[in-house]
Amino acid sequence: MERITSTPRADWQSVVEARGLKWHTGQTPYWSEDAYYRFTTDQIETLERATNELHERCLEVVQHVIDEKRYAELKIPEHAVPLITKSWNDEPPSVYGRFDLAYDGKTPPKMLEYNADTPTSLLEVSVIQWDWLQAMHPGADQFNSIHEKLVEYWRSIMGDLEGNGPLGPIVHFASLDDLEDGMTAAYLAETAAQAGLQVKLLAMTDIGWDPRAREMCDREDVRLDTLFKLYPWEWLIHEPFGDHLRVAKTTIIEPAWKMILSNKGILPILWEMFPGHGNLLPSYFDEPHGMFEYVKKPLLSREGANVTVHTMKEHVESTGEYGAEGYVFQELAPIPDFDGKRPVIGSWIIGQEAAGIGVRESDGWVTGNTSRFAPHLFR
Amino acid sequence: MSSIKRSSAVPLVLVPALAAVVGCGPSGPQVVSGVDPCLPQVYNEAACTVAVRQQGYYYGGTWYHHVYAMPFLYYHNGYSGYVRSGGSVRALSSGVYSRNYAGPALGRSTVVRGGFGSIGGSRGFSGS
Repeated sequence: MERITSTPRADWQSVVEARGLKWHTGQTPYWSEDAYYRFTTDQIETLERATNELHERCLEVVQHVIDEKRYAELKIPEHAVPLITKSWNDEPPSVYGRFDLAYDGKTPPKMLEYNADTPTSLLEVSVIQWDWLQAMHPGADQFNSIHEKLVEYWRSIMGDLEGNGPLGPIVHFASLDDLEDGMTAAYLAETAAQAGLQVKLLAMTDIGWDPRAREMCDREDVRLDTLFKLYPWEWLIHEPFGDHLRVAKTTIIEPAWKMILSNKGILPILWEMFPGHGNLLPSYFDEPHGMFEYVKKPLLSREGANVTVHTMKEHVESTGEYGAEGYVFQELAPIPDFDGKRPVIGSWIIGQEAAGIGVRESDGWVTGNTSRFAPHLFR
Repeated sequence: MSSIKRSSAVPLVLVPALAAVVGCGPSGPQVVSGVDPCLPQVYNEAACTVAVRQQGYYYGGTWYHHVYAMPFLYYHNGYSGYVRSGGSVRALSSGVYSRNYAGPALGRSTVVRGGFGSIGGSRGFSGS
């Protein structure tokens, strides 16, 4: 695993914008071609194996939490439990998730967290970095079959979806009225359309509730049979329509059981169930348990908010609005340092299998919403 | 390892089309897909002609931007070939492609909105 400096394409801004990535630059560049990461085939295979292994273990954690009713430790409210158990038993579609891994190319990848409910950076990892590879290193390879696997997955579930359109099932894709979230939802919708599904986008605020029919519907009052929502479950259940989720017949993607996996509380439960596992870091609820170097993470947080990194040399805290539900303590991960740049591997699950990786690099320990996305290749 | 290498291009139509119509501000895309009148299964010649010319169509009173890369005849021939091969067509009323389509339920709707999105709206993004 190497970080290699590179000359960006002269017209990279217009190239990535033409493919939908219009948020490539914030206060600093987000999409960055100044450098890329080069892996060996063995390293890519290691990442793929670790991702599949961790996904399997995480599913065991979901079963365990449900069986042992450990919801209180995760601060999941009682009224959400029927949603979780029903979705786990009914097995509605589960399209995607992203593990964040610490990996140095030598020692086993370590799981930092599992963004299983509302992962973003999808267009970048699936399309933009692939375009970069074709333009800059057409002879090299990339761990990236995300687009194909998404289309394949939608196709595989078409027969199971309720249909209410003239051409069969319509899948609605809802997100905040925000550029990045909206385009991510649009990209997913495009993969579904390529599989043959009818798709519609809408804003979360446009979701309607018909009290007579006891159904959710869109802006045109079309019933929502299948709803992909780029919106976290822990917010959905606390909003005014939250109670309707138990009544409406809408199939929601990602399913409610993802509420368990997107909660940092799975980290100590994973460590408790699989102590010493090579892809896990020691993690505990409530206190560091004697660890000298650790990261304190809110049970529920997004984009690295309210994370505290405690090392022998420094104590760094990120800001945010999270943490009211409590924290977990995870041993500090061996994230490599490439001249001050610290990469975290985002390893994607599509359906039930590993499908590709993206690299986000930061100047510090915490990967936040301003961390750069760097492309990768392997030979 | 599962297959990694793939085709040399990822075909996208919808996302670039949306990117072309949305700015760099906070507002996200509002349009996606109604029922395309040029699809052989619901082909509507008049609506398809207009849709190709305008690069989009009204469906149920809502405008849907759509990229038609080929001339009208291409879609018409696609429809003809589909019918010749035994495909069935479920024609929608032309009115549904009208800009002023009001819909059969207009005025009777009891639907309430705004029950989702408030927490995310105050925080600005919902991805992770």
